[in-house]
Amino acid sequence: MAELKLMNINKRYPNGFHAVKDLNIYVSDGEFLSLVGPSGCGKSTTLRMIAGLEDISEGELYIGNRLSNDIPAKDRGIAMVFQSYALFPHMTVEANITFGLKIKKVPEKIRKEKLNWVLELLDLKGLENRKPAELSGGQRQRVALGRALVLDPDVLLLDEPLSNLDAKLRVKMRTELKRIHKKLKSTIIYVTHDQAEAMTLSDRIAVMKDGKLMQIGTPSEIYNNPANKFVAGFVGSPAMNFISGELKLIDNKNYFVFEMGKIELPELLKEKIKESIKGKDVVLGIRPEDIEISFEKDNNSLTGVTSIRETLGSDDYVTVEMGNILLTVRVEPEKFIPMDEKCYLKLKGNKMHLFNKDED
Amino acid sequence: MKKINADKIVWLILLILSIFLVLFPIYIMFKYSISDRRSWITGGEYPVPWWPFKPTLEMYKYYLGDKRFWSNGWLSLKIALLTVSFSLILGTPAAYSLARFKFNGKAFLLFLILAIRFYPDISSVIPVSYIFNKSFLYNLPNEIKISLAHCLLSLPYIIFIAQGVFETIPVDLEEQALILGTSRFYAFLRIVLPIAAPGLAAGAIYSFLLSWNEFVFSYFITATSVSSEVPLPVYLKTLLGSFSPNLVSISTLSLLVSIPVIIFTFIVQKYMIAGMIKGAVK
Ligand SMILES: Nc1ncnc2c1ncn2[C@@H]1O[C@H](COP(=O)(O)OP(=O)(O)OP(=O)(O)O)[C@@H](O)[C@H]1O
Ligand SMILES: [Mg+2]
Repeated sequence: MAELKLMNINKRYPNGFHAVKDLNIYVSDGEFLSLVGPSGCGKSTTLRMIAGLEDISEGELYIGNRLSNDIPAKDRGIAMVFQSYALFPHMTVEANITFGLKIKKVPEKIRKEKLNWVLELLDLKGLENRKPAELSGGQRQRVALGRALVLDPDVLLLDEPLSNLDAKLRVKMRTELKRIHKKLKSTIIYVTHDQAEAMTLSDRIAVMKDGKLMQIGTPSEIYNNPANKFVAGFVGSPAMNFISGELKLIDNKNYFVFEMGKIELPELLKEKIKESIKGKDVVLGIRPEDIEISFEKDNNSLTGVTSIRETLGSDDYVTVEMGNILLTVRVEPEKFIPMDEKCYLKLKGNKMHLFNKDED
Repeated sequence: MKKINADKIVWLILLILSIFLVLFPIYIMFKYSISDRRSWITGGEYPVPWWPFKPTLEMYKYYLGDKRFWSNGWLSLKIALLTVSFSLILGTPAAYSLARFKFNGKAFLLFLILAIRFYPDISSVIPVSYIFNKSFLYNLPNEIKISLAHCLLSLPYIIFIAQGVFETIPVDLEEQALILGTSRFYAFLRIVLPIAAPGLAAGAIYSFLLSWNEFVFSYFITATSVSSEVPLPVYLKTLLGSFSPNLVSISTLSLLVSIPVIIFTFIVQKYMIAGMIKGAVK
């Protein structure tokens, strides 16, 4: 078991590329932290620095109170599952899984026990004598996971371990992972593209962009209080609606004004406007589930035209056009909504978000 | 459907043609090696037959009972195996560094490694034999001297082949081994080498053949040697014109010489399994 401290970590690749910038993350003992962000934002690089595969250009890395910048990978008490699986192609599943135990000179009997435990856990029974080439993508991924799990690592680094599984297996493995984490109590850093995965699995989520940490917090903090427009847009599916406009003070009340109308902002946002909004140009954000659609005029609502209805199974989404602006609105599946009709949108006051225009 | 068949026929013809091209000289050699005198000295009275009138194994018997053949053959075998070992021991780490580490002047280094092969062996033989004959190296046994000289020829190929092989092996595999607790060297030994084995085997076969057939370096290095043993190609040369039915003799010896090569190739080929790397990464 170990806590993990990243202090002002920077990574510059030999070609000069600044891949990770001033990263500060504290992961407490036994925590499940997800690292999310778009492709190329530096997730794998961060993981590789923690694992000791990549030099840290600047900053300090502590693993369990030990400054670990210069500790070789093999002595860090870390296991990692690579984005590419990295199975040893000339070894059987069994040899792959027990490789690390053999290196650590674990006695044969315990090796067998752990092997069986992992085969059982990951549903790999009967495949122990196959070579990686004879496995499906999902099976390979599970072998890679098993090879890390048998080591009982203090810190487990997972680089998109579920990305190659089909939807059903993915959900199953997600639950498994959560169960495994509960049982092993390892500190886990989990890299994923998939924000839904991050939401369901993690204690906390760190969102990165262009090598910088955008926000770190519990799933609900990230979802309900995104620190900026990027985080707001990245988390949640379908994505948050954004409308560009400007702030206006009318009769000592804050209004959001844009080409298709204006909206009075709730008191709640007053503090935020004072603290973090610079200038008049802002972006208003509202999630699809925080908009109510109706066909009777209401004060402080926006006017639009319903255009498309899509269903995602449990929920339906209606696209509403306001000039060039398209808003996605969640509606109940049973509810009848006429298309190509004028409608009124009411935004839930306490769910509105304001962001600076020029920030990401 | 029809087009595929036409394709197949063309391929088949090409295949048969190339097999014929390779086998025809061997057939000629074999025919002469078992010819009785009347079947190859015709005096122009009748054409040379496609098959000897009275096949005979006389020459085979002669050589297999010849001490010089055996001792020279043994020398040749030792030289070839030493060449393979030296080239692999020196070439594999060199190729690995070239494949894995980034440093300045890599391209120039590769160029230098190939440099010895830029001109004909006959012109590099003068400095090379000079080095082996005029320095302390002169006192080494012949098999060491000649195999070291052969390494000069085979190393460039081994390094090129092995570098290519190492580059196809994902770095992830080694990194994973490091994280699982191995040292760099152990990861190289247990992970990289086994996966590279098929490619390295091809290099080994190549350098075995190169050494086994090499004449120029062997000739010049053994010319000044006190030992009377010479590698087989040099021995073959001394027989030209020294023995009376010389076509038959040369053919027989040539065929005998090819047998160890065939055996070596069969042994090493076992390691040449395609698709070693399959399943390692997505
Ligand atoms: N060895 C390297 N040299 C130079 N730049 C690199 C190197 N490795 C990665 N990069 C760059 O660093 C950035 C971060 O890469 P990284 O692999 O960490 O991204 P990632 O967040 O894991 O992306 P993905 O989700 O696609 O896996 C990328 O822009 C990449 O091009
Ligand atoms: Mg990555």
